[in-house]
Amino acid sequence: MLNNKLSRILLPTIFIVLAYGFWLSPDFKAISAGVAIFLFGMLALEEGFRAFTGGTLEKILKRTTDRLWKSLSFGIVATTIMQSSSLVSVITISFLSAGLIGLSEGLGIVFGANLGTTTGAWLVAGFGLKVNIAAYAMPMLVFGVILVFQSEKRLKGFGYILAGLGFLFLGIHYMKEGFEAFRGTIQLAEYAVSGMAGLLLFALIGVAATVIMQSSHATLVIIITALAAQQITYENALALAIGANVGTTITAILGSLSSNERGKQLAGGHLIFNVVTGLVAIIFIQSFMAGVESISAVVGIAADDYTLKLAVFHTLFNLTGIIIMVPLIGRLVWLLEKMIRVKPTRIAVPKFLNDSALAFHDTAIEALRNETLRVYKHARNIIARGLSLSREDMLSDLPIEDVINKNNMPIPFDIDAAYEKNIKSLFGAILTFSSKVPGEAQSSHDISRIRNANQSIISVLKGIKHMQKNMFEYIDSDNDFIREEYNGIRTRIVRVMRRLEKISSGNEDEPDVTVLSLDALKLTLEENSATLNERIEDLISSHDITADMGISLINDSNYAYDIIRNLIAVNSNLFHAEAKAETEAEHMIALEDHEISSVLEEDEK
Amino acid sequence: MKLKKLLKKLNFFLHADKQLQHDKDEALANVLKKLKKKEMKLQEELDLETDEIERKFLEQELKIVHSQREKGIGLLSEMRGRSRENGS
Repeated sequence: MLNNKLSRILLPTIFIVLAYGFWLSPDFKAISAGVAIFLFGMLALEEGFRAFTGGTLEKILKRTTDRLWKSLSFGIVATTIMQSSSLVSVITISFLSAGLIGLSEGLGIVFGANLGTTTGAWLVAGFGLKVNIAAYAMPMLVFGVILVFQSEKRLKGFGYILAGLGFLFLGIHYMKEGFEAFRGTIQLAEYAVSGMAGLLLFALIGVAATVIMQSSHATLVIIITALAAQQITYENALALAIGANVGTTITAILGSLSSNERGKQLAGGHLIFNVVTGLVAIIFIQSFMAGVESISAVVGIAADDYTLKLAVFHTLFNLTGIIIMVPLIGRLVWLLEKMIRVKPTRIAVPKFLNDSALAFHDTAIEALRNETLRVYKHARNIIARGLSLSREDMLSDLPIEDVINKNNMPIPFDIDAAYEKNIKSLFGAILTFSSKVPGEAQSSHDISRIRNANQSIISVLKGIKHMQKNMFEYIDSDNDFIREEYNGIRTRIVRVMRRLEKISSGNEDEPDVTVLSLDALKLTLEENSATLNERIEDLISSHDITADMGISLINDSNYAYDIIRNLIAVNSNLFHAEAKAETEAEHMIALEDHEISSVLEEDEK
Repeated sequence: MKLKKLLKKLNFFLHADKQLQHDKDEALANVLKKLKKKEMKLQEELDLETDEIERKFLEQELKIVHSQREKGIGLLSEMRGRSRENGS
């Protein structure tokens, strides 16, 4: 909504101002074309990096964000490579929304991205202005565009990255040329404002320029090229850089509008960080300038090389921001969670499924998996209550026999109402969301597993509901035989639930083959089913139970068999190894029904 | 790194199909390694176990892991044979 309003007011204004500017000055046209080409380069670069997000990014993120220093480093390195803090922020928001990383890790990445983006200023000031950058741009564009036309995804991605860099260089070249030609007709430096007023005014201009272009990198390149052509003063350039740093948060804010509360909290944290850093830089500007002078003298930057000094300043004040804010990250998380609360609702609403998570295949799949795990968690409660047990008892370490004996009376529980409240809406949202994920072979394979897991959960709940009536009647029956049989059914389900919990939580001493560990459960299920049928026949023929009881028991044993099979199926579809390829390998090796039967037959011989 | 090795790596990187095949092969081999470890661990546990019911359970699990390994080895050799036929 904010995005729409902004573009409705801003867009016509920008068009009019630009058209007037082009009519007034051809040099302004060259500078604007430079900015446009530069921004187009950023888009191409982002598109290129997106081609490499399938699996690789998820793996890197998981490994590099478990500690704060690692998330900081990830932010710095990723932004340095991609040269776009906006892309890193948007990726972080989608990963946070999908539940792949926590808020403090997300904040760490965003803080790191702020420092990483300062490498852009170094590249432009140290390399872009010193050499004929357009000479590098031309071959990059040619090779890049050829690669863009290839069908191979990675080659195409490379093409976009190469063409993106080419456009960035070409854009910088046009901006540089434009500002130099501008010098002959008009001296913008004459409009310089000194003192605190100038600092605040130019910081605001920096904010506005970055909000419009949605790229602090582009603003910085304009600042650096204008500074190199002496069109702005060094002091005003510093103020513009501070403003650009604050303005860059607009991308994260706009990106978070379509995300959940977690994404909004991250965007809020990003804004707080950049505003605090900006304020510190403005208040202590003299100290920062003195610091820049000392550092420049140490690293051998010439006294009149203001563009490189600007790069030093940019890095210095962002580094200071990190030093100030990192110790406060815990408090920041607390404040953000208090300010942007997750609304409690009566009917379960999706927590992970939002448009931000749809940005990448990995995040979309992870969001679906996390949401399904939520459904499964709710379903576990319903299973426990449906068996007249508490969830805590069901999953505790107490002997199962004790748990069953302790809960020997039926406890009324409305499974339909619980399903309506906690499952149905989430199930619907999962189906809708999964249909929106762009269909690539791998992801559709993942999606069908997640859909199957959800369908299996529903089948489990149906089974529990069907069993509930007879279970109520027989778990406190005077007939010891039927009571024992129904407690046996409860015991089998509880045992499987516990075993599944154990497999999913993993054991450090055991090799991690979770999907394959389920085959042993399948074997036990088949074995129990065979012996159970024989026992029921014996009970009926010996008149220990009535024919009606026998029919109920046969039906409910079949329901229990289906419940356990579906529970195994849920977990088989949700478990996954660290590496995606290993999960696939486990599914390939997992035994089919007839293979399990062969093992069972062999066992009986 | 030698030039030949570097070129092989680059070739893999630029040809997703080959890399995918290589990843599958490697993943299957890794899972088989894990299964072998699991089989050995189960055998050790079985050797120490005295309770009859527990022994039976361990024996069953051992048979399952053994069947899984057999299936996996078959799949791996089939996969490697196919990639050899394709000349990669």
